[in-house]
Amino acid sequence: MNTSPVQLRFSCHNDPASFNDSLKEILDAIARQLPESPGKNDILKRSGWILMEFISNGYKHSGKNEVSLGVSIDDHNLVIVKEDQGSPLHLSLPHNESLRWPLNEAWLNKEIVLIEDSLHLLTAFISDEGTAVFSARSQDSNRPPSISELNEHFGLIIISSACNRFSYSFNEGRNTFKATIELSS
Amino acid sequence: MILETTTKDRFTLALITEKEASLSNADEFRKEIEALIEGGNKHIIVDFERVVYVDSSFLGSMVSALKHALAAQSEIYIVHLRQDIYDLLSLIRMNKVFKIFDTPQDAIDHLK
Repeated sequence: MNTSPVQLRFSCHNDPASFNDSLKEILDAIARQLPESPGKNDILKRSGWILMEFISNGYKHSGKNEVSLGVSIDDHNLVIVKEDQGSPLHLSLPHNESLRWPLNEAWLNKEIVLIEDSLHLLTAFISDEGTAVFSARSQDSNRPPSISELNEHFGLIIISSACNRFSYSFNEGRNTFKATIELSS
Repeated sequence: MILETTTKDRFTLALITEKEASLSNADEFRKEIEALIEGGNKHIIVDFERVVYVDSSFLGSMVSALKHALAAQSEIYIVHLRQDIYDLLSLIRMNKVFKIFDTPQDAIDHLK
């Protein structure tokens, strides 16, 4: 049965003391809208990890007092969108390079390695419009992980691993992070 | 102080006193663990009993502290993780990196 998408909007204070309250408010609202299913708790858990990273990323990087979050739910997907008008994304790359929006054309239509260590491989494919689609994969090895070389930045890895599609775009001064969880997965 | 420490035999039990392990206390946690390591504590059991959520900044500090411990030939053990926090660590494969036990006694028994 196809039903109209549910659209929810939230504005969160950029204050660590209110993060937990914001997270609970949004998760409660999502829980009320999601149909009962065996996977509901898993979807809520993954949504919580994504929301927490979006909220704390807003605090660290947006430089604004409020972070705007939107959630849409239809029969197939739960989509969480974070928007702000703070500083555009700036990612440090291996070999002392960096990726900073708005992007130079040389980065377009390329897959770029953002993080690579003995446990993680995080890449971003940059579309011809400058949208980054992130992908986190496990590095499978029978050898013990090399702890001294482990990456210490987990935000993008958490979001990419917790959803089915995660993207970032920067248009007309606005940052948009979008995480999609397939409800059937 | 985010850690409340007690000692038992050669073990240091470091209880995280806050519910939220996040960017607001991640640096404090890392510095206090590093101070314990510098103080000669070789077996540090970090107790998450009161912690209800962990974010990526705190996870980064945990890894940083673990690297410090490794360099000083100290060990860090983690106990009393809620299931959803354990699941988060598993999601990013940190369960392969940290020595995780149900209780402090389980960690101590493991080393005996």
